[in-house]
Amino acid sequence: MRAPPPLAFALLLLFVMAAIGAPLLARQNPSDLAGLDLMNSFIPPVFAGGLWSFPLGTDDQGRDILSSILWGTRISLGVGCLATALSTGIGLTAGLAAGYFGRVTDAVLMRFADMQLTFPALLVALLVDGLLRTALPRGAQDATAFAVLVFSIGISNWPHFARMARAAARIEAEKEYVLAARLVGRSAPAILTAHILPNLSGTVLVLATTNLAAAMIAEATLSFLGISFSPAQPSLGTLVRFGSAFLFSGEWWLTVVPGAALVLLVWCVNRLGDWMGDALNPRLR
Amino acid sequence: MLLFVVSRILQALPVFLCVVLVAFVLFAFVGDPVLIMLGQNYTEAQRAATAHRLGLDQPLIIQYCRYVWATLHGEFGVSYRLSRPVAALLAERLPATAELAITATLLSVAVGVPLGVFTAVHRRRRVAGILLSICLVALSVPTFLLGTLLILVFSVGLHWLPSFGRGAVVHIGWWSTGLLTASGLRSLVLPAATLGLYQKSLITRLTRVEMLDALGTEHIRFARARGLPRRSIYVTHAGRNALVPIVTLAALQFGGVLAFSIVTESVFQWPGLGLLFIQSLGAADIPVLAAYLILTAAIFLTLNLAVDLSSTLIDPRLRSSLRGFPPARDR
Repeated sequence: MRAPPPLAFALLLLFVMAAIGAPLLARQNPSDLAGLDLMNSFIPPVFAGGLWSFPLGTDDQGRDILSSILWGTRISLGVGCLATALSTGIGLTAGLAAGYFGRVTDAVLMRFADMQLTFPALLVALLVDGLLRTALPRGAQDATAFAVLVFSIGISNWPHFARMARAAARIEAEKEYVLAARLVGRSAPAILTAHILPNLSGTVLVLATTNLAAAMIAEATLSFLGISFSPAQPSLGTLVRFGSAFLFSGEWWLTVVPGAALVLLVWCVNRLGDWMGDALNPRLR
Repeated sequence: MLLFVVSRILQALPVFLCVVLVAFVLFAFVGDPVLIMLGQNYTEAQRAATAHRLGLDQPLIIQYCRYVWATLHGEFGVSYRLSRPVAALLAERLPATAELAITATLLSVAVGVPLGVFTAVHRRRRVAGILLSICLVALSVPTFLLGTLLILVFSVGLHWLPSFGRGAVVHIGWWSTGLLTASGLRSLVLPAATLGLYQKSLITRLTRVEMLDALGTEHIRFARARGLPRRSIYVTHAGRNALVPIVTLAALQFGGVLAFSIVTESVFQWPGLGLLFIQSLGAADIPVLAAYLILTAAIFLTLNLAVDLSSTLIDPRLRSSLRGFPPARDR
């Protein structure tokens, strides 16, 4: 097996550490208005003639952009991982059940997946997000923003996992070890989780990694479109959204710097996903 | 062949009816149209009269049947936000989105396929590796960010291209086109590039994999041994075998193009269906949302059908499977 791509691996590790350690590493908490000083607003990044005290510059409120990015990474990675976990959970459960039991279970679950696949995932996420937001009371929106994002992105991606798991479960269900497990009287859930699922772990991992990249893009997109508007907890997408308001007045770094961080993060995950896919592909071994 | 077409349509029909059902459920359970139409002051008699006029006092199953009937006649109700018939709104916005999405798709195929062939043929050259790395970066740039950056460079920085809108349009019947005016074409460049880049990268990667597969087969080795010109080996012999999955992906990605046109249109304030969708979502304008869903599903299912038919036309090997299973579409 080839070694993982070093640059992407190291960078992703850095991002994860930044996300976990944001409260310790960041010099400001972006949602804490008391720590801000308007005198520090619109300082460009160091490489464009700024100050070393704000290496990546500041925004209109005098927020340190580096700190905002550290906190934003926390939200982006958090939403991405939880949404992926949700898609994986729903998709594997539905797919394994459909493939193993067949008949009515299979028909119902897979028709449902087919119907959802008629719509692009982003559209489903937008719609679920928008409708949940309309349904929730106004006061609860800030508190539930995170959960609503995770749910709407998670629910939009499960059919891919379901299809993969179903195809695999159908093949595995015919094999002798499954027959043996059935003969000794193991229950269907036990066979599925203890015997069939481990055989899928490689494929699931690759799919989940690709999905993580897509989920983070979806999160950033929803945040950018302002539907998941939550000024108190800006994710990387929200930062780009705020920054793009100053596009025409010359403060380009408000858009470019958080945008670059987002691209870098997604790229690391995509690169690792590619590597894993290649490593597990028997034709390329 | 006819049997095949009919069976595919019959398979698509339940999916379509389910989508209409989802749209209907949105209609029936999210928000109360009677309250929206009557405003703040009304009597119980007025409420009952309006409900009766809208048919909301009937059983749900009858309401659903009436909804399907109206949908089949192209009637989607009246927008809550704009108080205009939804069908007219959609027809007005459709040309902008269609022109944008089709231009982006053509652009992505025109650039993506040659790039994919090039990276497969010259797979050991460093240029190919660099091109593939660029593709992976392009897949990691969210559409909204790409649009914003393009505006920053080409509109704000260089003043070359407009940053929003559709420019001047020409009306031909009910269709409005921006393709016939200079400002319309200039306005199309940035949105189409934004929308097409992601698809282009996907197509490049798939073309490369398919070409590599095709180049490894026996008949290509034989063609090489015969000393056929390289160009004809790559284009005629290998390219043809790689074509079906590429056509399939390009067509199925059109659904993705429609979804991302929502994002592109809001970045560039492009007056199409996507912008209408976002505005309606913000205002919880259910009739428009429901109609948009039905329209998207109809386009997707039609494309699916067209893909199945065209791949059997392109690849003779699939024709034998016409009577049995539909051709495999998922890769």
